[in-house]
Amino acid sequence: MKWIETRTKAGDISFDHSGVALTIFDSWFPVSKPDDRYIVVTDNRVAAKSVYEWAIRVIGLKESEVILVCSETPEQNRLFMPDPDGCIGEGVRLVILTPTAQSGLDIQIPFTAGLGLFCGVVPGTQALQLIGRARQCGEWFVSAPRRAIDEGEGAFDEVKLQRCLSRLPEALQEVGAAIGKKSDGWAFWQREIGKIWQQFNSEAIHWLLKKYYASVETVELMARRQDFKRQVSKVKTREAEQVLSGNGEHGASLREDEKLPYYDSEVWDYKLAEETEKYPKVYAALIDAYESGDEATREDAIITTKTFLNKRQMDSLKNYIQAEEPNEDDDQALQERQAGYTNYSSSHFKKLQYQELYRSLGLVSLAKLKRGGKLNLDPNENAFNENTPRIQKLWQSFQKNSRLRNLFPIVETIQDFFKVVKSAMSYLGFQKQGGTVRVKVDQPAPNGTDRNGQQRFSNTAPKYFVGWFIRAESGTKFFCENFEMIIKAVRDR
Amino acid sequence: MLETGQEGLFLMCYESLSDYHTGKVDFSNAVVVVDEWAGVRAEIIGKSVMPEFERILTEAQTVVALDAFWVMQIAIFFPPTGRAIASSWIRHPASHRSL
Repeated sequence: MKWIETRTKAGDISFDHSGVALTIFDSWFPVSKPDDRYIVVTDNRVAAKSVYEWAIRVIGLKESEVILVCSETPEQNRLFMPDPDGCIGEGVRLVILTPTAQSGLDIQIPFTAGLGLFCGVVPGTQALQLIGRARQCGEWFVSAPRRAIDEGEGAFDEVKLQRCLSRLPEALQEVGAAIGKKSDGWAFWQREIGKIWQQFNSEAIHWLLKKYYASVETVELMARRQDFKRQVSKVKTREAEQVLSGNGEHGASLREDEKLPYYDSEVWDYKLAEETEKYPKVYAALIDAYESGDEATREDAIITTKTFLNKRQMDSLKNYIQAEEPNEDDDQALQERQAGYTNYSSSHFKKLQYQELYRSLGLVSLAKLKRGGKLNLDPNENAFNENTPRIQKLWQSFQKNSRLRNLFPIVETIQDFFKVVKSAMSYLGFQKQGGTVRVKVDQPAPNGTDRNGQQRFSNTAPKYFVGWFIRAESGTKFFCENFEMIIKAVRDR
Repeated sequence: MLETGQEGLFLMCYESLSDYHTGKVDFSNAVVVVDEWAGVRAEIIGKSVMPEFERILTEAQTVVALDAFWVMQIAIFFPPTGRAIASSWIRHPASHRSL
């Protein structure tokens, strides 16, 4: 078992592992014998497709030599799932699996080597299950990049858990949900622990590997980041084209009959129908431009579609609009859903929490960064941490507001409070920028040594602050440039 | 078949639980086995199938939760049916090999 790390230009451990797959391929394929067989398992569909395309386009494997199992290959999956060994047979040299291949799958055929790419979509235990699909594999490489740890993460221990659980009924009551369900505590636990799982996904996988495999050795690789990023971009462009050339009517009828795609082509019909339901006008215009426009218009249509297919970006924009532009229909719909089955983990409860926080405290005033020019984090102006006056003031208003206090049982200190503020801003899609700034401190802080080796002190110290970009300038370049058009489309939904 | 209380082994994915589909089924005579418990537990909690899942766990005669990662499972006892899980806690010596 080989554990992959990469380094940044400065020589530190890097959080970005994109492109390690290509490096591994370089070491596998040029020297492989015809009967060598490899497997890649990943929790990221785009990574799986990128690796697949790379194997065919650059490594030069034939399509019949590569098997890709993901949610977009139903035809392949129907053959593969019941009889993976038969499907792999003699000719296949590379198998790529995503979590679509669930735990029932049992591949007995031996592999020369395997690669696991995990970016935190599935929890560590399931990542290990994916690795376990190939019962016989010579050597595994596993990449699970670490994440930056947010400063100010409050500790979460047994005592605090108890206190939070005792305050939970108030939170649920606050939104009119039924209380006393047996799973309420479980829901709270799951949401809070889920965050920790995500934060420490890499460490958890490493721990699990050490526990279940005989030896785990760290290897350092040079990642081919640029090549991989270009490949990912190609895959996304291809996806946009496939969606735009899908048969929307057929997709809509599938959705109406509650059927899932049976043929590979239906995947795109289905996807187009799904997207058209959300943004009918946009997609009508995009399809028109794609079908009848000249080269430049077509290209524009594809780029716009890529943006609209970016689910995370679009969802957070929707959250932002709902919070920023209160609308009776939305609010009423949310209220009605609350009246049904609600727990601390359900998405509408989360939405209500963050909306309330954002509206009551006017969090929009925290987003002050703009693009262009040098980015300057200034603790008096646009950057914050739990010691800045602006956050302390918000903390006081929070404490005075009983509804907010009830909605956030987890918040006990200003550190906890700043943490949920950060979560709320991220939920609404404000792009965060962190950085270290030297600020004045009350007590002299150590500041290096002089030439005689004596400790020096100064009245400033480096502290970590975060700022947020204004909403119209949070996101990809294309997204920011076309913010007005995109926000209009989401308003019209 | 479930509704008429027929004997048998029924394999279901949790998405198919709903008031409409399984709401009339009486589980008090059933042994409910949840495979991949840790994964199911993490995914299901925020979903709309949760009320029905909760009813089944509460009403079933026996609940058996299966997961290869037993060490990770210390905190999983679902309160209402913890009795069933705790009383038949089995660690298979070769469990890690069947990952």
